[in-house]
Amino acid sequence: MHVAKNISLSLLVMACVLVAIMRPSHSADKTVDLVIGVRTDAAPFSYKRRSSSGGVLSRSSDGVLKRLGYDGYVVHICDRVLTELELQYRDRINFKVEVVNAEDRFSSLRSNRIDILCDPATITRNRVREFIASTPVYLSGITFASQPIGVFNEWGCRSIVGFVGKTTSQTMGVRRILEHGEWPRHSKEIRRYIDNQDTSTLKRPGCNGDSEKLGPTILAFKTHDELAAAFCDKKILYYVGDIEIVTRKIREIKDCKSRDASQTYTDERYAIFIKASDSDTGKAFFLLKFLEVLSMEIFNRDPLLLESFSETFPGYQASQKLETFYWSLFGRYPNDKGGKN
Amino acid sequence: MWDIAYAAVVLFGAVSLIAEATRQFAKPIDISSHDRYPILRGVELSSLSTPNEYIRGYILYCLVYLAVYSGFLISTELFELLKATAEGVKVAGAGGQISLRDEIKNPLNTQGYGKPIFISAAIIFALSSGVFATVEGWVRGFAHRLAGIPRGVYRVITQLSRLDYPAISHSYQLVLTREFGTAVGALKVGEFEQPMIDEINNALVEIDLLAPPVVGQYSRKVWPRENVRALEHLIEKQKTSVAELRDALQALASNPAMIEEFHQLVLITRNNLQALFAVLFIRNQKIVLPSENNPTAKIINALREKKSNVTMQVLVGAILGTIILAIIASTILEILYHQYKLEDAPAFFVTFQAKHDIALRNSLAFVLKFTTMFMVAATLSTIARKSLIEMGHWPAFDPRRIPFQRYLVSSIFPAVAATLAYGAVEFLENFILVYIKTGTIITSGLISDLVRDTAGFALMTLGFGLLISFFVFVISDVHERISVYRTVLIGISFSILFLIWSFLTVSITYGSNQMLPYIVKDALNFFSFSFFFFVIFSILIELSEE
Repeated sequence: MHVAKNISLSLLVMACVLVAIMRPSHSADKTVDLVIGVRTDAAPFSYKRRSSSGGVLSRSSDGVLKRLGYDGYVVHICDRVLTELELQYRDRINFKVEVVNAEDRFSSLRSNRIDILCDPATITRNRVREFIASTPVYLSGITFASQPIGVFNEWGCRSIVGFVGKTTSQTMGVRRILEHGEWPRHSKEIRRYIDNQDTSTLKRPGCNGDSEKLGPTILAFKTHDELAAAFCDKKILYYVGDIEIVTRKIREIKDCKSRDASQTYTDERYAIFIKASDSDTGKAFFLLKFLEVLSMEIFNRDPLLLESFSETFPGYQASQKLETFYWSLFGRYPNDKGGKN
Repeated sequence: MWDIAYAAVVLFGAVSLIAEATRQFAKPIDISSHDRYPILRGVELSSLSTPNEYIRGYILYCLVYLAVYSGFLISTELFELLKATAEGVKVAGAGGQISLRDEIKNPLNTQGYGKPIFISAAIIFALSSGVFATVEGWVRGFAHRLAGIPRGVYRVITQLSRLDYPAISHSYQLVLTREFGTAVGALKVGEFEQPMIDEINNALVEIDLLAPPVVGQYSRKVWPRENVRALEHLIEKQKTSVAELRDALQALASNPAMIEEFHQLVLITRNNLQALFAVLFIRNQKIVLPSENNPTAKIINALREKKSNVTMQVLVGAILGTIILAIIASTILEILYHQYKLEDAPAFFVTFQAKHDIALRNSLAFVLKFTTMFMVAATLSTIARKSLIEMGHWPAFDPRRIPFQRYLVSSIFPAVAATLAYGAVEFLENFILVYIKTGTIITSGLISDLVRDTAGFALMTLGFGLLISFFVFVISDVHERISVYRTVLIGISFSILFLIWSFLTVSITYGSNQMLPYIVKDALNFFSFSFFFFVIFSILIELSEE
């Protein structure tokens, strides 16, 4: 009797132990949410598409971002990687999209509101100290578009320079343009403005009268849509930004005339930024996987970057610097039939 | 790139080219074997021109070298600019060039200090060696022609041909002429031979007057010895020819069948004497004559009289009149255009005061560009026609065989030059405007924009240049044969052709952005300018007829 009881008790204990051992851990069951940050105003790199009827266009073969109506050079790259991840880890990963702008994109990354930033973000020293930058994916440059010559005569005291805030156009672009000897008529005023910390105390020379048309020397905008609209409404004289974005934005607005915007003054190397999660090892695993798949796609036989270029810039040639950039990565040029590696 | 070191290197390259040009320029020019004055072959270049003409030709020759040098210097930048502005070529990515550490590897690199030296040396080598030596010869000949070498000689020969020799020879003994007159009396001259006899007679008068100061003892009294020495071998040769002519004249009386041979001999001797006299005159224009009362003095004084070029005078008068009338007409058109654009009448009065200065400014800019185009095309056409006449390549106008091909070929250079001049004024106007407004001197973006916006129109101005050249040729050729009314009618016809081409040009090149009233305004502007010029030119050239 005692033996049977002991045996039963032992079996019960063993069963409990076995059940305890075989029960899957919580982390293996948990689905990871990856939040992708995209822009709506940074065409042709990251923007939201619209159909002519106002609906969102997508194809069934598109990735998660394109299915939601986002498009652009960087979005195309992100989408390819996300599609690969989706195929490999379908049940364990969930993608979400958050819209960011130039002002809040890095703070969103910092606060973990987003995990991956899919927009034309320039690699800078400060940014790589805080975040992880992917392999560079594009080489652009800052330029400026001017108002037509006839407008200069009646400009008065309206603002001179406009850019999107919290971008390299603000921190570096304007200075580099001045160093190249551009804007000689306004250079003193602009230098004084950017050197002076307290801009509210600055008075514009010769601009005390007509308060209606008076504007600060430099205007920072939240998005390129607002900036382009202000430029085409003749509220700013020079529109500073990355050359592809500036030219695309001006072209999108009907009857918007401009000059210049053909020469660049800086080199802007774009990368996809991610923020490593310290606490969530599951998310960190997928962020690492993202970078791994991205590298594979970049250095593939048919490089992803060239495919993105062809799709984003049909009929365009890459500039000499951009061609050299691509060649340095994988030994090929855009529209090059054969591989060189 | 333009620092002091680079400027010094560019200057060194330019100086080495000028040294090479100095060495090459003095090489003798090639007188065509079919030239009317083959005796000039072998005459030194400095003998065929005045010092001014020689210097002018030398400067032009150096400018050609420097233009080629400058062209290669800016070729890489220009090529990239044109490539960037060509239709359909769009570029994405960071702009500019990547500078190489080792600049020697690419001597044509825009950043390289070696580039000017390399280009200069390459030009010198290329133009001295076999393949491009013919190009250099062509360039040298072109510079000579532009400077008037040996056109100056031909000009003097043409003047000699037009002198009134019977008046000059009054009471002077014409030995050969008198002997020929006696010989002709013994010949049975048919009516078909009379023109030939008259031509021989006229030529012999010239020979009687030109021979003494060229081949006779009198030449030592007229021309400085050192200048005559340089042509001694030619003068000796000509002396022999005149002696042969005398012998042939004496044989003519006994052998009348030789008349045709004699005719040829007389004309050749006359031409050669004209050519030698012209060369001696060119080299010695400021000589003091031993006596003023002899045929040689009368000939030299007649050559010294500077007769102004009638066509050039007419051209300048036409341009001046056109400028005044065109400014008035263009300003009125601009004002009417702005008035048409306004929607409500009361606002017009306020806007008129604000816009009238814009209308005047626009019309001045337009008149400046068109004046440049007309001046260049008409002036070069006039010069081209005159030089071709002097060289005997412009036959008299024959209404049964209108020389369309000759007019077209001769119009090409003036039309191209007029287009380039128009483009230069357009560029300059924009650069000045940009500088005044923004303080910027020149940016590559500005050049790209200008090329993109104006290249099409500038090309179409070739048609304007051709019309202007054709007009100058036709009017200059026919005005003496027709009445003033017909001449003016030709001018009006050309202005109608100009109107048609104007409409075509503005319709094609202005793009779909411009409304019809703007296109009509500009086409009428162009037409009015051409109408004033062609009509005034026609009237003035008729008034200038003697």
